[in-house]
Amino acid sequence: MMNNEMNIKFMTYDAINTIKNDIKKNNAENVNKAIESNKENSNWLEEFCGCKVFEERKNKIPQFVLKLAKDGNDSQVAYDNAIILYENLNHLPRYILTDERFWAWMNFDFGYKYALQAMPITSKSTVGNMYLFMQGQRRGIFFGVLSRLYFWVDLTIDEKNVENRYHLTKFAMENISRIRNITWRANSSEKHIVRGMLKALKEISEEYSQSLDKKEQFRKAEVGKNKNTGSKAENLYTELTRRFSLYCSVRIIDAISEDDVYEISKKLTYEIIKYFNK
Amino acid sequence: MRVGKKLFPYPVLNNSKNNSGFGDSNYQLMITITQNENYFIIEKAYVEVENQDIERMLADGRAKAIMVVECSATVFREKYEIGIEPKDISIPIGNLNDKVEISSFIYANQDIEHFNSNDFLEDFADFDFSIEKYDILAVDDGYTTKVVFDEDKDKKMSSIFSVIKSNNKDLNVMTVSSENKQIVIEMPSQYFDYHDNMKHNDNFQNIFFAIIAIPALTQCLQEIKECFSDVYSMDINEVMNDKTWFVSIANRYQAVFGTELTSDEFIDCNTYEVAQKLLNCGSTKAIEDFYNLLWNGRSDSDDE
Repeated sequence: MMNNEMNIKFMTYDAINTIKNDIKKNNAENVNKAIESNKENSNWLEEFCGCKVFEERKNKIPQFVLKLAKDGNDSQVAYDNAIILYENLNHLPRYILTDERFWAWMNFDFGYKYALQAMPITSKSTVGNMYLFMQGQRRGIFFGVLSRLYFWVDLTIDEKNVENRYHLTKFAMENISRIRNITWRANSSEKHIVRGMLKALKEISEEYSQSLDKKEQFRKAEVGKNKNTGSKAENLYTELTRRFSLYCSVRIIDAISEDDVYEISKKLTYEIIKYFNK
Repeated sequence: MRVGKKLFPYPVLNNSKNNSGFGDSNYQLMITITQNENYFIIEKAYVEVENQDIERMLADGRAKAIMVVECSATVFREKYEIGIEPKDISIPIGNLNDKVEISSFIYANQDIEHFNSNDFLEDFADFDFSIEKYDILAVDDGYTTKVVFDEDKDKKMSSIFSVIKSNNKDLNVMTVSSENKQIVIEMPSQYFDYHDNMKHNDNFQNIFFAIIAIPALTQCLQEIKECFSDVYSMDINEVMNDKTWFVSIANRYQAVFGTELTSDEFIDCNTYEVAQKLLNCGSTKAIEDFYNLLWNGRSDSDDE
């Protein structure tokens, strides 16, 4: 093995099951307390689980470190770390990149300090939902504190743009509602849909930044409003994914070309901006 | 992607007769699935279209046929253009894990005015429809298969169990839960430590099977069996899709009993007896091991 490479690890099922058991049966009381008093490293896990916590696998990745923000959560550091994760991990097979045990190692060991900075433990569900896949595989991948950073890049990378293949990633991650809504739901395994939508949104966002008046219209649509029936906000991004899903109802989403997604998204986005500025 | 019983505002030719808007016409995806250590291979993929109108649209390019391969566990979804001529498709095996769905569609490649067919069901007869580009014209929900691929995976039966330490100080019994990947056995901390110290000693394997694994497996099999009586038409493949550990059980069942574990076999089985047989008759062998340990200071019965 070359010195600038290292083997990946998995958290063992026994360790994952022990943490999940505490979350389910003790409302995460013990695990949250242990994290709270051990923010520098996760050496506490060995005693907590009473078993081997991580096991080495044969796949290798380059030696790399994640950045830490100087002061709490920082969106620029999140973006930088997303790119760092993608560039160092994208050669791994997909069955590893979507395995809970791999991301449990990343969250609880390799990227422990950054993970805690990006997603502090604030409730009994934080560890289960953001550090482990307790809400299911797909949700775990797209909501996990480090896995979501990787997959946000994976879905938004624009290989056709030779100058900056991360231009859509940067645009998408500038607004948490934008990245969350566009990369989630049925779109989450359809790169051409995500890219087409983001290209339309980016172009319109640039168009609306030309005058103060238009800028305010775009901002209003981004902020949106609360639904009458509940507390969930509806905004440009929730509406765009909803209306696009509606468009796809009897169509085959896999066949729609990226150019057509772009055209449809543009049309829908203009309509939605109007709707929020009535 | 599965369409299932989804309703369309126009007739769609569905492989499932109950959901089809056509009478005698048929649409079917034909494939043969194999896999090796590097690739998941779909051999001779083609579609059979028994409807002249749709066949004509395929031939002149107004419609196209695709096959969609989806694996939700790895968030993998790819479309492959296919046709009436067989085509081989290879997917790197590392892209897939667990359940893989393979379906096929014919969709409109352009807007189509006055879409009609002599074989529309009675409700649609005498109507014609405006079809838009990308609208689905024919569906075959196809096949579901399972890829279990993990280069480092421990294939021993014992790996379906995860014995964990409880952090609940008031707990003084073992608890069992049937999770997706494994059967999780929670042990009070003190007893977990005893077990942890002894678990690698071959002399105690049958004894641990008898007091820990066999009762746990019995309980989990019984819970699944009860689901069979609650859910009409549930089948063994659904259980295997839901519980990865059950795949190991089915494989072990075949090895021990020399016959495939079917839904009927499972419904009729005695879960306690089956659990013992699958786990090396651990309960009876444990008695033998106790006897030998007491009188000879070691166990003689063979391990799994």
